Amino acid sequence: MRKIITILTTILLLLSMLPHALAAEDKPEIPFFGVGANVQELNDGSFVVKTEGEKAEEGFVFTPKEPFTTTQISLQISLKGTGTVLLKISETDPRGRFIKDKSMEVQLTEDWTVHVLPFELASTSSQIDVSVVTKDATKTEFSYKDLKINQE
Amino acid sequence: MTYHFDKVEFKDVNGLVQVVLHIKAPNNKFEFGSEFNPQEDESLAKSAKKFVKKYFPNLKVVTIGIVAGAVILTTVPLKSVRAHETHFNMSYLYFGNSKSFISQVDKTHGNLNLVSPSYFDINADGSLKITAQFDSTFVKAMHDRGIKVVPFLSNHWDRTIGRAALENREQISTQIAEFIINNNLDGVQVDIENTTEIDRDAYTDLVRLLRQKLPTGKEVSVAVAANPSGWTKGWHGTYDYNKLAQYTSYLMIMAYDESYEGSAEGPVASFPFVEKSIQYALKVGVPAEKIVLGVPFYGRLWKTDGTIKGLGISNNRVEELLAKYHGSVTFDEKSQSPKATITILESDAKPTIAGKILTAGTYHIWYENDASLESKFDLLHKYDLKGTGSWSLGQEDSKMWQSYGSWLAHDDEEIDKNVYVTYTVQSGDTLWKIATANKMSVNDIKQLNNLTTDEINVGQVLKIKSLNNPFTDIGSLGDQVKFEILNLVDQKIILGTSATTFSPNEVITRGQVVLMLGRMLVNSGIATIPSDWESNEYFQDVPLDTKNRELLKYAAVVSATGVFVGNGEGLLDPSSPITRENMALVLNRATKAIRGESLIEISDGLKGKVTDIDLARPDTREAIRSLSALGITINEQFYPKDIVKRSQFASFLTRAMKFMVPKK
Repeated sequence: MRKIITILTTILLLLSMLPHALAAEDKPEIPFFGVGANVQELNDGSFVVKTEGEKAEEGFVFTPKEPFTTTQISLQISLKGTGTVLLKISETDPRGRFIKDKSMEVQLTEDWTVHVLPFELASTSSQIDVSVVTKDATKTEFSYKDLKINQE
Repeated sequence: MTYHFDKVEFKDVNGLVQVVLHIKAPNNKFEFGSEFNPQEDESLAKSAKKFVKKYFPNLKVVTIGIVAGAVILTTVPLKSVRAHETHFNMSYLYFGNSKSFISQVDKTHGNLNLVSPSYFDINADGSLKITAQFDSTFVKAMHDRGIKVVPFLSNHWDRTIGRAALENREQISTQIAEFIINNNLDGVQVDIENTTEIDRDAYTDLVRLLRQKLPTGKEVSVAVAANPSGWTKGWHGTYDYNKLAQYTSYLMIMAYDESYEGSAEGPVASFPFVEKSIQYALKVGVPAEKIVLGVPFYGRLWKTDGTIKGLGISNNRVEELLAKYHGSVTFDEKSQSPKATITILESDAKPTIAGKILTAGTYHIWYENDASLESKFDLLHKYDLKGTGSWSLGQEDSKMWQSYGSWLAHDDEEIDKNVYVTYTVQSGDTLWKIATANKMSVNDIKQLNNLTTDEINVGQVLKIKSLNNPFTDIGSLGDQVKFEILNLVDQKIILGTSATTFSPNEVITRGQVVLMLGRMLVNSGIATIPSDWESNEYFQDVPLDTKNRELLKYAAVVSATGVFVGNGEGLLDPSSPITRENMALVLNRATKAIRGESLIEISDGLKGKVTDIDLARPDTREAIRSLSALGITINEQFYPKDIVKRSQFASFLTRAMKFMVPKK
């Protein structure tokens, strides 16, 4: 009986661990790079950005790898912190030539707030950079999570 | 090939020195004399220049004549003052392995100083990844040849990987420096591409760190995006040219990919694009001696139905396709770029290019040839740049290396591009007599020869006619061949492949020979165009509805005069190359049509000295022997099955034309 209980316990333990294991494997590797800033991932899946304050437009940048199937896209992200930042999408052609960019000013709050920046690509073969950067040269700190590029 | 000069003579030519070098004619397959083509063997001209520079460094020599026996092979212009000469050439090694790389390097005629193999990749965490291509024996093999090995660090266009390396720059620069030192490499070229203006500072800092961590003797260089319009955003914004130049030995401007995969059809590196890219670098303060001009050894291909756009293709494959599918080449003056057109039929074998099968259809290929590369090299001299960098070794037409060295040397004086006919004054000649015989005025001859009086001397060589040379691709040919080509063009027997190109090294087809001999027969008044040329099908494979009306017309002429008889099945086979033995046959018949006597009859039983006659088809042997007996071919080996180049045919035809005069 003890043996059966031990086996059941082990199975239950394994089952309880499995979703976490899968979650860890499924979690996409999203490289966010600091621009004049340090980017740190927290245990809850959010990120903290600490800018150096040496110049304007410090923050982080991310380049989605997935190919585009439509020219109508939007950036969706949850942000919190203090001060003003810019949500920005910058488009280049397949040979890296700059096409256009679009930015949106966001007043940060202490609570997580979802922000959306719609963007129309010149072509589905384009590449984009998504960034959240300070408006002015400010040594500051803000957090983000759940960054998504929606293709509509 | 190395040449040895047996005897040296000095000649006074209007107060200037001409050196005449005597050489024993090598017994090879090249026709010597007027058919000699220095472009085929640039090493002869190089050897001659080297010889004169070495032994007569203080002599103001203007030309070097090279003579084999009694035959003047070529004349090499030599100016004593050089405004700019480039000695630095690097090339990237990407497609292949150590063995093939060594073979490719050995084909460059000693023109390379540095090779840049793909040894340094980047891991996802931004650390250094040594590729499987690294091979210490290759490094040694290059050092044994006096060639430096500077691997390039590449992110293979992956922006995220590039940024990972920039973020991890302290570690990766240390890893690179250690690897270079430990493996006796000669430096690193940073080739992280597709990052943007937000990475500009980090990029420059990575290069600074590499310079700081590598010993002075090791090179740090950067491959930078060409920036003809001074863009500050996107990929182009990632390079701070000015600061990068401060930390590096040079910046290699990737002056190519103006058109790219997916783009509209156009040149890979047009002249204006390249020049503006150089001007931008200079404008932002990069010293000229730190600019290396990137040149492409590849082209791009578009299918006219739009299904393939800008597929990359090496220059050597372009040459292959042109020969196989009998394509044509035009030279775009504005971009200084050649554009090939090939048509693949349903019945043709389908080639594979960059993993893609080319199905039936018409293709346009913008690529690089000698003319376009030479034109770009003019910019090296115009802006006194450090040298060239080529992407990538092995993609080029290896014959190009024969000319590469000469493009790098630049004289500050313009070389006269006109081609002159010369005449040696005989006893009893006067200027008036020579002028009248050549349909010129006395003043024309005096002006052409800088004569101040009417006095001439026996043995004096006079220029008596100049032919304007519209072609950009015959400059390296011997004067005699140039004259033969231009004279035939003047007589409207041969046309260029475009307004500015002759394509001397292209294979001549049976159809082209039909056009030339047909025009000659008609222009000389010997033959007329048969009245039924549009209603009577003279050859089955030149149908009455063919779009090539010129071919239809002159096929009728050569058939009616018996110059071409087809293959016995009523076929002309116009798109196939003509063989040397068949050329002998048609020249023989053309002479018969014009003179009433064939070359065989004129040679009157003389056999000449052809030693490989047994290789020829029996029905062509007498014609070949007559070419030899009459001096139309000079060498002992005729190579009857070989093809004929356009420049060679011009020489053969010119010599045969001496006999193609109606018998009185």
